[in-house]
Order: sequence, then structure tokens, then C-alpha cells
Amino acid sequence: MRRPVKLDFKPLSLRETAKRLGVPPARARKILALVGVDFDGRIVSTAPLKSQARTGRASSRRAKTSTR
Amino acid sequence: MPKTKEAVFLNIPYDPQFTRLYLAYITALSAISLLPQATLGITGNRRLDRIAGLIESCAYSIHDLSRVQLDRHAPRTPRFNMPFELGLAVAWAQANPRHRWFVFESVRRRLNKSLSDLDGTDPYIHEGTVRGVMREVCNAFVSRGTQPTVPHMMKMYRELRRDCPGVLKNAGAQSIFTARVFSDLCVAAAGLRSKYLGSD
Repeated sequence: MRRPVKLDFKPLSLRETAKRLGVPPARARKILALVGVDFDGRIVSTAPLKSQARTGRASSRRAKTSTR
Repeated sequence: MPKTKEAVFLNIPYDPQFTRLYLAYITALSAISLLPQATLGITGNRRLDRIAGLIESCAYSIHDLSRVQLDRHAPRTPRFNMPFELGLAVAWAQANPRHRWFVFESVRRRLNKSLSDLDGTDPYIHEGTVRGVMREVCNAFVSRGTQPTVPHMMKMYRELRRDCPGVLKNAGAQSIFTARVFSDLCVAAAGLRSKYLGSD
């Protein structure tokens, strides 16, 4: 019977993983943002929540009004 | 090329018919914290030297011999790159027993017919399915940290598939079979490992 190979190393950090794969940090950050994590593995939102989007639109409208 | 204990040489077909399993290998290997390395982007007359160098730099190699049939275009030809690269890896492992190689197939007992020199080697049979690739990668390796389950890997795989158009757009590429998109997908899969399994 085959025995699985035991991988005796600690997982690399995301920063180190990107480096070993030859992906520059800025590009890696963009890719990680796509899957919803940052370099430290913290979950970040991939799309703005509806309420945030609404607030964003309102504030930009306010900004436009104030510049007029 | 520096040797890394996390690197695994991924010897698989790079064509659209293999897309699902290509993403499955990237996902499964990233889930167990390995760094997939591919021959994508290696061209020119020094290609063979660079492939040999890549194999030597990896602690493990996975050779998928499931694509043994003739292609559709004339002259109809079987693909010899994968068995040839397996031969390179076996020769390297003979001289350096720390290099471990694994043969993956989709059909049971076909390897005895297609490559009888490997009689006595048990291939990992994935049956041509994404879930089969996940299961067989788990049969081949056990990670030191949290061992991902097949359902975890499937969740990661589905999300990686959904994120493919975004990765392609970022790279300005049309195909996922390019060196840049391959490394970007590996970063994305590592991010998904972190998201679903933690970084332990």
C-alpha cells in the first residue's frame, strides 16, 4: 500500500508565496483582492456593500454640488 | 535554479480540454501549501535544459499521463512531452532519491499498456474528474498544517473558477495557459487556502 508523503514544512506566507512564484507585490495584492484576502490572509470585502455603494454615490454627488 | 522543498513540477497537458483539471491541480496543490511549477512560457532552443533545471529545482513532480490519445488535427499524433518529462524526472530521482515523482492517470490499468516500463508503480487514478484530482492529491501528500478536505478544496476550486475572468482581465490575457496567468492563479489559490483554511 502506498503511503502519502508527509510534507514537513510550514506553509509559506502569501507574500513569500507570491515572491517564489515571481509575482510582484503590487500584482499579487490585486489578485488577492479578487479572492477577497489581503497579504496577511485577512478577509477583505471583494465588492462594496449596497449601503456603502449608496453612501459613496451620495457623497460624490455632494462633492460635485459643492464644487459647482 | 534554487531547490525548494515546497515546489512541485506539474507535468500536465496545457490545452482548453484540460482546463477543469488544470485548475483542480493548482487548487489541490495550493491547498496543501505546495508551489506548482509549470513549463508554460519555456520556449526556444534551450527549452530542454530549462525543463530539466525546473525538475531539479522541485522536490516533487506530478506527471499526468491521462492524455494518451491521438489529437484531432492532421497528422494525428499522440503527445510525448509528458512521458518524456516523466522520464527526465525518473532519471533525476535515480541520481537524487530525495526527488519524489507521482504518476496520475484517469483510467485504471491503462498505464500498464501505455508505459509498461513503469510496471510496479501504482498510478493515482483521478477518473478525469476535479474531485478525483483532489482525492488523489490528498492520497499522495499529507500536509503538516491543517489537512484540507476534498469539500474544502472543491469550495476553493469553484471560487478560483469564478475568479478566472478577473485574473485574465488583470493579465490582459485571452488564455489561462500562459506563464503569467499560471503564476497569478497559483497566488489566487494560495489566497483561497488562507481564506478557507487559515495560514496556520
